[in-house]
Amino acid sequence: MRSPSSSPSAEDLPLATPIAPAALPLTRRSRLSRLGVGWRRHRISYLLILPYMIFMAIFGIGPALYALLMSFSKFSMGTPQYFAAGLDNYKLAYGDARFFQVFGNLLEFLIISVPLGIALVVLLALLLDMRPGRFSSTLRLLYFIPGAVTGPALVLLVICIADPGISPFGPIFNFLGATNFDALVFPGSLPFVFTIMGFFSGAGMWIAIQHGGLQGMSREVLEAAELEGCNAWQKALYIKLPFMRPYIVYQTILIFALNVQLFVEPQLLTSTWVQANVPPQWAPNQLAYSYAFDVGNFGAAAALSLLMLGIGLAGGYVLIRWTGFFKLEGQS
Amino acid sequence: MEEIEVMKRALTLLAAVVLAGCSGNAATAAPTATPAAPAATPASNSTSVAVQSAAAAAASAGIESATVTDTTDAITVWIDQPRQPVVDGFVKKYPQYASLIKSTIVDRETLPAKTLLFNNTGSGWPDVVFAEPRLVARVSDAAHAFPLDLTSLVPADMQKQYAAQDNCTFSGKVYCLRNDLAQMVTYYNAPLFTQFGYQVPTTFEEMQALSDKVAKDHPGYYLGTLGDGWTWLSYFEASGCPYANVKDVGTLQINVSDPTCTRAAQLIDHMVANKTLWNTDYFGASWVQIANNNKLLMLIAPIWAALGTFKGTYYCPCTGATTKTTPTITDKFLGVAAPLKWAADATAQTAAMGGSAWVISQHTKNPGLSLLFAEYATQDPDLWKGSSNFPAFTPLQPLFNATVKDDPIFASDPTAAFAKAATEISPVGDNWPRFDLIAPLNTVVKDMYSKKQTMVATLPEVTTVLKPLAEAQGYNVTP
Repeated sequence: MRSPSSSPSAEDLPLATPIAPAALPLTRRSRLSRLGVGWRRHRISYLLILPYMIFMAIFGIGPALYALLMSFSKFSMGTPQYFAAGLDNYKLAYGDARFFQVFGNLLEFLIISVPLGIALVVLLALLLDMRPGRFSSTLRLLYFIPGAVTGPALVLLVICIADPGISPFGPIFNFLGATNFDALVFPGSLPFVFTIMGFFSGAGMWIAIQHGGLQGMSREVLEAAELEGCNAWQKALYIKLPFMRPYIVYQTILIFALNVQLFVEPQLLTSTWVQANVPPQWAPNQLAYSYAFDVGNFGAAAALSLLMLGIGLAGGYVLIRWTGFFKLEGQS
Repeated sequence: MEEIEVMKRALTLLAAVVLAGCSGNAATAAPTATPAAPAATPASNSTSVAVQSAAAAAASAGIESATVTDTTDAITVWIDQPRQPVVDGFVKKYPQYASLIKSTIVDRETLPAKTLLFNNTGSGWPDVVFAEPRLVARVSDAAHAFPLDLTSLVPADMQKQYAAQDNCTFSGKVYCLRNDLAQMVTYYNAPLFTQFGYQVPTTFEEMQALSDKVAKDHPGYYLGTLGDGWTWLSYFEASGCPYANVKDVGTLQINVSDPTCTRAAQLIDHMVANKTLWNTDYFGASWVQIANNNKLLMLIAPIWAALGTFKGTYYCPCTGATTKTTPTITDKFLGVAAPLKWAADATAQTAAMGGSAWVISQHTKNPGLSLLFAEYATQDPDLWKGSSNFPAFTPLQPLFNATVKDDPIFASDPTAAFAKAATEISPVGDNWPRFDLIAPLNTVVKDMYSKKQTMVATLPEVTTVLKPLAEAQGYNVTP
């Protein structure tokens, strides 16, 4: 429960700001019930998050519970026989020879894409903030535009760009010795290929968010730093960067969760029209998809999906606790 | 997939061929199934007479004998674009059922996934689907349970007239009717062979010896290509390699250390080393360029490649760029030989790339009409006249022979080689397991090139890649 004693400030997260409680008359009911007091004071907050909670229950928690149910069901007849499978689905999915491969691939991808993505986005946001003005806002718009294109379309575009025969960068690739698609897209290069695909589509939005966060900085602090003799880079590194910390953590959580769900990019690469040198199941989500739609074993797919959910939740929890993400000023 | 594209191109060119040359083969095209009576019918253009005589011919010849008892339930037919003439022809021949046929063009690769969804929602199954036996295999297990058992619905002697019908038989039940066969044969450039003084090889050992001669005397000429799963199969199935041998509904044999696998791998390594084997699939741009430059000396490719790929892609007029040396499609360049065999084997075996079938859903409300449609599609002489596909229904094969015999692309009559190859389709290869083989094999072939290693060294990857897919499907994998 948030302490109502601190008033919101610019440093606080814009996500969930506590409302200063209005003075309520103490009725007989609220004197009897402490909980009633708490609820009354914050009922506006509960009311505001109620629509989100409803949708999360229907489209988030509900399907997760159903997946839990399916993971214990047998699908050998095509339609589910509930509670008939015991732990068989888990054994099949987790014992699959591809299990460690796909999670290994995912780990490699996360290690490359998350730090790189965040570092580049933060760098670009800081650079843009160093030179405020029309040039900066034009660039921000340009960075944002690829985000407006849907994921699969961008993937197909990158596939064309990666084919030296038809790519505008063809001469460069040929000069570097890569003369065909398979020389650029092969199992070892995939984490980098997917990082590129993901970065150029998503970076614009994150740059806009980080830049927006930076606007909340108090000007006095920056002026004081200038008076102290900070140049632009020192300002960025020692003043702005710590200020951006909550936003960076927020971005880390979301990019981590998003990248753990990697599916569209490898799935399109394995399609028969592209014929890339890519294993048919490269990412864990693809393995779950394959169990569901190639084999028809929705139970095993559910077992894998629940594992992915667990990873996402665990990662988010660890990051939040470790960085004190939801702590307010003045709280220990 | 490539064969869809090739089928499309094949039938586009078929229209040209038929328009150009159909006048010539009317007299010789009389199929053995049609008795003399309709031939004597005067040139009456009345539809009812035509329908009557066709039906009479059909009934007396024993084709399209399914009886339709239900005349109210419509059926949904899933086809691809080149099969549209089948629907149009059926509606024309049986106008009384025209309103009951609804056809949709659907990518048949989605059949397994869609079947599962329909099973869960309880409705939506198509009645008749045009799909390869490998897809029928994927929907025949208990979870999909899609096909209707045709064993008792199709008369036994009619079933016997279909070639390669074993691949439509699963655990003793007949689940589909073969439409066409796509057996691989050995194509070669006849004028070049004569010019260089080479003998057309009949065994793989002879091909290996020939590759050494070509590498020495005529470098830059190619005896084949290996770039994807299909081209891989053209060598390994021809050797009888048990890379994914379905022993029964629950057991799959994967044994790539078998000598039949190693000998094919060694042949490939030999030809890669002396540069007589190219590195893309049949439609790779660089391979097509080699063919356009008239450097394609020999190729193991499916039967439909003759009129579908050589004509219009490898030989021109074609879609690509031509050079002065590009062979044209009327120059009688293309020689066809029966499939190669290994000297130690008693008979040759050959792979098949495609070769589709018609499968009927067990949820159909109108099995009579569905069966009549499938029978029409596979047995009707008027439909198959002039087709460049090799019919699985044996009485129609003379029609095909007549079409190809006189085509000016061939150096000599190819019909004997095609017919022989049809009897040699590999039992290991054409009976596919319940998962896709081509995508995993693509990665194996590409890995061989990207890691710059031999095929012999890359063979264990076949096991690594296929075993999890088999186990996920519930197969017990044995060596």
